[in-house]
Parts: sequence; C-alpha cells; structure tokens
Amino acid sequence: MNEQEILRTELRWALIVAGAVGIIVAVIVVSSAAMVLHPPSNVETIDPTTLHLEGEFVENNLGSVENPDGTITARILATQFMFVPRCVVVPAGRRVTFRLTSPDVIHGMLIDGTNVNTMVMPGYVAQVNTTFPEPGDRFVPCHEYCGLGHGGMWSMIRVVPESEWKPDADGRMSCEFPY
Amino acid sequence: MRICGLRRESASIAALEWDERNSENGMSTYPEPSAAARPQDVADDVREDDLQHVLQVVPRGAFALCAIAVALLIIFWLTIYFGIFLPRGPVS
Ligand SMILES: [Cu+2]
Repeated sequence: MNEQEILRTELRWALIVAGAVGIIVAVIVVSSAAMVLHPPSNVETIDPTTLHLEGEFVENNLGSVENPDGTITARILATQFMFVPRCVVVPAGRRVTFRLTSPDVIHGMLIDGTNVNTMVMPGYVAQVNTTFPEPGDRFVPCHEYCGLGHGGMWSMIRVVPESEWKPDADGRMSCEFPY
Repeated sequence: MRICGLRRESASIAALEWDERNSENGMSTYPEPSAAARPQDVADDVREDDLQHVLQVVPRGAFALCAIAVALLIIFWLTIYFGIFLPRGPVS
C-alpha cells in the first residue's frame, strides 16, 4: 500500500465519519423542529432576601395551582436542605410550569424519568415547562451540592390521574399525608 | 539459508547444530538469524511476499473494525435518543 492509497483511505474514512456526524445532527435538527424542542431558558431576577415576605414565593403561595386556562403552575422553594413543599401534586396530561428559586445557595432540581433538569440560583427564577403523560410518584433530588445536608435534600412530584385532580376553591391541591 | 516453518525453539537448536557442523577454527559460519539471547525473543521469519500480502490485507481489517465501532456508536446513540430521551417528554 503506497502513500497515495493510504491518503485515499483516510479521506474515505473522513467522509464516513462526517456522514455519521451528519446523521446525528440531522436527527436532532429534524426532531427538534418537528416537536418544537428547545432547552428551557428563562432569565428573571428576584430579590432572594425578601422571598418569605412578599411576592409569589411566600409560603402560602407555594405548591401547585390551576391557572384559569387549565394549565398548572407549581412553585417550589429550594432551600438548605429541603424543597418546600416536600410533595407537589399535578394532574397527568396537562402542561405544568415549574417555577423555582432559592433564598440561600445554588441548588439543582431534576425529576426522575423526565427531561426536567435545572439549576436553582438565588436571585433568579428557574422555570421549566413539561407534561407528565403517566400518573405516578416521581423522585426529585437536589443535584447541585449545597452543603452537608445535600444528600437528604429531595422531594416528590405526585402525578395523579385527571379524575383525582380535585383542587380547592383557590385552584390549589396538596399531597395527602402520609406520602 | 532459510529455516522458515520451524518453530522458534527448534530454530535455535538448528542453529546450534549448524554451529557444530560448520565451524571453522571455532568461528561459526552460520548466517545468524537473530542477535537475541533467548529463543523466545527471536523474531518470526517472514517471507517478503507474505509481508506484502499482509500489508495489503491489514488496512481492510482496520477499516472493518472502525466501521463496526462507529456503526455501533450511532446505533446506541439513536437507541438512547428515540428510546429514552424523546419518550421522557419535551421540556421548554
Ligand atoms: Cu440543595
């Protein structure tokens, strides 16, 4: 095998690799366009020192609430070392908007079995929209090391069937204890 | 003189026997196959046309290996994308 042949083989292989990368990029571009997939992005600031006093993250406004258009908004406070509330109920099959913030350090939130995965930074509101197709309990750990109690920082999303979604007069619903 | 086809140990024994039979004034006339001290270090004897044949075939094997590896990579990527990522539902 002479040098020209080696060069030709390398060029041929480079084309094959470029084709492989092209297949992957094409799959991502086509499916993203067809299903309107894009990474969550929300830049919204909030004063972390007054979260407990005023605004949407005061204690009695946390948890899930049904909006007039039927979608759900779930507000969660990520704090050392727990999520407040520890359990959030949402109905299956409806669009859910998670809004999170932190009064202390950087936390993280991911929902097991879904693509929901965000950092929660003090001073900012993290927002992720998703839909849960199936009912069930979903584990929600903090995935950003936030201190000695980090390992015990977790909560739960309880996805209930539409028939079991029974909000009160304010459109709110809490997990039944014990969960 | 070729000793092609002999195993390495027997090649060195053959070399010793050759030494006994063909020494002149204690100097060996054997065309030394290797300077290695131990029989297991002696390189395999290779015929030139065998070498050329192998050099023609090796790139094909390397190509097949790369192709299988890259094909598996793409298959696994597609499996995870369509089997795990998309069913987990869109986020925005
Ligand atoms: Cu944390």
